[in-house]
This record gives sequence, structure tokens and C-alpha cells, in this order.
Amino acid sequence: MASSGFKQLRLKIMLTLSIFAVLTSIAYVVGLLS
Amino acid sequence: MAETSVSGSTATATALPTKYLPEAPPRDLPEPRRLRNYMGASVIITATALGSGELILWPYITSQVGLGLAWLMILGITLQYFLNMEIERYTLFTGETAVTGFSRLWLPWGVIFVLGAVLPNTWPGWATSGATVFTFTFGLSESAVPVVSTIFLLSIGLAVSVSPVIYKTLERAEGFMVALVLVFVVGAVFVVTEGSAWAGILTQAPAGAAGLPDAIGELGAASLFGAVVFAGAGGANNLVQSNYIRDKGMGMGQHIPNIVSPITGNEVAVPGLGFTVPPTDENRRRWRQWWKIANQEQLITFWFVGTLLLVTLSVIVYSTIGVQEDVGTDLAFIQEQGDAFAATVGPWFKTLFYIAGFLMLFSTNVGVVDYVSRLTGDSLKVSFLRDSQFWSESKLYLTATWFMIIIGSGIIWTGIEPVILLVVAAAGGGFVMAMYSVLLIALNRRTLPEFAKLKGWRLPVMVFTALFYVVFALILIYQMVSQGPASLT
Repeated sequence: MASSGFKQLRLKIMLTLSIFAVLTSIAYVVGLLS
Repeated sequence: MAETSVSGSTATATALPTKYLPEAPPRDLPEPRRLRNYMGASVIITATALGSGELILWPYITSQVGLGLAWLMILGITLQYFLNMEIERYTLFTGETAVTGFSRLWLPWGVIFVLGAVLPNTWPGWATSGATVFTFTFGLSESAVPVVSTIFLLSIGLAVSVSPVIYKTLERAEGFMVALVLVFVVGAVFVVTEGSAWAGILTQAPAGAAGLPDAIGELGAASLFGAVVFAGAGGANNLVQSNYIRDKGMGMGQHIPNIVSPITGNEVAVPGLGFTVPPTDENRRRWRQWWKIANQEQLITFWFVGTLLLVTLSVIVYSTIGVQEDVGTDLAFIQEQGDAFAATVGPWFKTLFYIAGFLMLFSTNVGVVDYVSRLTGDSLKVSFLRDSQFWSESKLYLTATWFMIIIGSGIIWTGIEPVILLVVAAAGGGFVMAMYSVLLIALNRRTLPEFAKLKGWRLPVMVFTALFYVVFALILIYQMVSQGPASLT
């Protein structure tokens, strides 16, 4: 039986959030977000 | 395709159409276990659904016309319950996805539904809404919205591309996000709403229903249709319920072999063709049990939870900002809600509201990109690209993902406002629903045997459902043709 698809999606969301946080911070530091 | 005698051991299964796709061999239904073993099959669709409808489109409507149309959103999610059950019916019985079933009727349906999933959802309503809420949270200017939206989409593209590699590491950090959203909703319910706002759902309904034609004029047919479509999941999202119940091993999905997905690194049902069930007494009994379990699971996880959240969030909006003049398609009404929370409860609550809202939109967008890519890979691999050596499911998945990310990023920079983008996605989704609600009736009447097919009271309910989406879609087309696309909101 397959493992939890919800868990897979949740983890993708967490990873996306983390990448988002990093990229947004970089954008802020280099002055792209005023 | 004629059904044969049902007596005893000589019963033979109704054959699925084989004009376009190969034969489905006969196989017995597996024994179902208890309901608790399958609770959660609808969790993904519910979690993905919680986003644009509840947070943006219905509050957008409520802030203009009050709670008089709230019954329409309950109707919307209820119709989706019945649609989802017909999608599940075909998959429980055959182990194939509903889109594969449509391809059996006519091969091009597979491609049509891939386009119906990709095109509406490429419009980056979630990314721009989420980015706007992000700027509210941190006091950034409006000019930051396109940058943040682009980063939003890029993050999704990167995450879904690399997640198989670091999947194990992420397993520890997941409860926080769900907890945060729940804390906000529970807090808002107790602190911010009054009893009269809850009663308003009932007391304002008659006037709301009577005023529906005026509301369509004031809100725009597309906004209203879009909001009804996004009450719940909506668009092609409901179609992947087939995939989720197969993954969970429900019905004939249990006989579909699992593979380690090249995309997620976890086990999922292999895309492929299914089976047909001989009408023995044992199979009939099992079918009745599977059908009961599937209905209960969907009712609790999708309908009950979804309706509760839809209603609660609308009441919260009505309680905080009431009915407004000149609600724009930017997200200023969200900001007013935030300010009302800051005034009633405190600035921390406003921040919590924005963060929760951002997370809801964010997670919906991830879910949308995921399901669209999955549907693309699955449908094309089963039909047109079955024998292709080059096009694996994984490549199709990634192609769909990056198409949406790149085109979506381009659309962001045109400056089209978030609500409009969401309405386009939702209205497009509504057309897709009009198509598959009709097809589901055909599929589940013509290809399934008597003991499993769509019949009885569900048939008129499904006919009503199909008519609902078809009529709404026709109203929209008529308005676009007679008054131009700009008239839609």
C-alpha cells in the first residue's frame, strides 16, 4: 500500500516555503524589495 | 459491452470500451477493511482546496453583497461531493482514473483535460495574492508584489523538482504550518464573530436568492461562477481524486501495482489501465461496502471540513468589515480585514491573519502545480504517449510544472490584479467541470455493470449538477460574447 500522499504534499510545501524564505531574503538584501 | 447473466459462477464482467485503449481484464474486488483505514484519502484534495475560494473569492463576494449568497457556496461544495463520488466510483470499480475512462470513450479527452488542467491554472492568482498578503505582513510597497510573486513560483518549481532528493530530511518539520492556520481560525471564531453574523447565513439567504440576478450584474458572472467553482476544490482538481484513492489502495486501486515515483521518491500507483469486475455475489457485497466507505470518507474529510471552513471564514469577513462600497480587485479588502483585526484584538492578530492567509495561498499553489503535473503525466502516458521511450511520466510532470512556472511568471509582470487572475483560473475550471460532469454520467452509466453503475436518486442529482455548471458556463460565454471580456468582473 502506498505511503501517505498528504505527507508528500506537506513536505513539498515545507521545502517550497524554505526556498521561498531564502530567495526572498536574498532579494531583500540586494534591494529588489523596496 | 452487453451485460450477461448474473447467476452463479458463470457470471462474466461487463467489458470496458476497447475502441481506443486495450481491454481491461476481469478481476475480483479486494475485501475492504474498516473506514478508519481509508480516512484521509480526501485530505489532499481538501487541503489543496483551502485557499483561494475561502480566503479571497468568497470574502470578495461577501464584502460586496453580504451573506445572502453563502448558500451558493454550500451548494457548490455539495455538488463537488457528488462529482467526486462519481469520479471515485469509476476508479473504485476499475482501478483506472476517470480521465483514462474518458479516454476510453474518445481518446482526445485525455489531452483536452490536460489542457483544461494546465491552462486555467497557469494564471498565477495564488502567487500574486500570496505575494500581496506578504507585502501587507511586512509593510513592503506594492512594487514588491511582482518580485515576490515570481520568487513564489520559482520556489515551487525548484521544490517539486528536487524534493525526492531531500524528502527524508523534511519529515520532521511539518506540523507547524497546519497548527498556525488552525490557531488563527479558532482564535478568530471566538474573538471576532458575533452570533448574528452566523445567523445571517440563514436570515439573509432568501433576499440573497431573490437578488441573484442583480448580484450577477454587480459582481460579474465570472466572479460568481469562479467563486462557486472554487468552493471546495474545483476545476480539474477533482479529477485527481482518482489518483489519490488509487494510492490509498481503495477498491480496485489495490490491484494497481505501486512504483517508487521518480518524482517524489515515494510509492504511488503506476499510471496504467485497470480491470473490470465480474458480477459474483462476493463482488457485489464488496462493492456495496467499498461504496459506503468511500462515501463516508469523502463526506467527513472533504464535505464537512470544507463546508465548515468556507462558512466560518465568510462569517469572519462579514463580522469584521461588513458590506463595503467599491471593493476593488486588488486585495485592499484583505488589508481592511487585517486592520479590523488589529483594532479589535491587536496588531499581533493582524499579523497572524496575514501569515495564515499567506500559508493557505502558498500551499494551495504547491498543490495545484503538483496535481496538474501529475494529471498531465498520468493521462498522456496512458493514452498518446504509452509507447514513447523519450516521454516518461517524470519528464511530462516536470514539463507541465515548468510550463506553468515560466508562463505564470510572465503573466505576473503584466500587472493583472490578483482577483482577476483567480477568477480566470476558476472560470476556466468551471468550463472543465461542465465537460466532465456530463462525461461522468456517460461513463458511469455506459461502462459499468448494473450493480455498480450510476443509478437511482444519484442520477437526477448528477443531471442537476451537470446542468448547473453547463448553464453557468453558457451564461459566461454569452456575457463574454455580447459585452466583451472586460465585463466579466
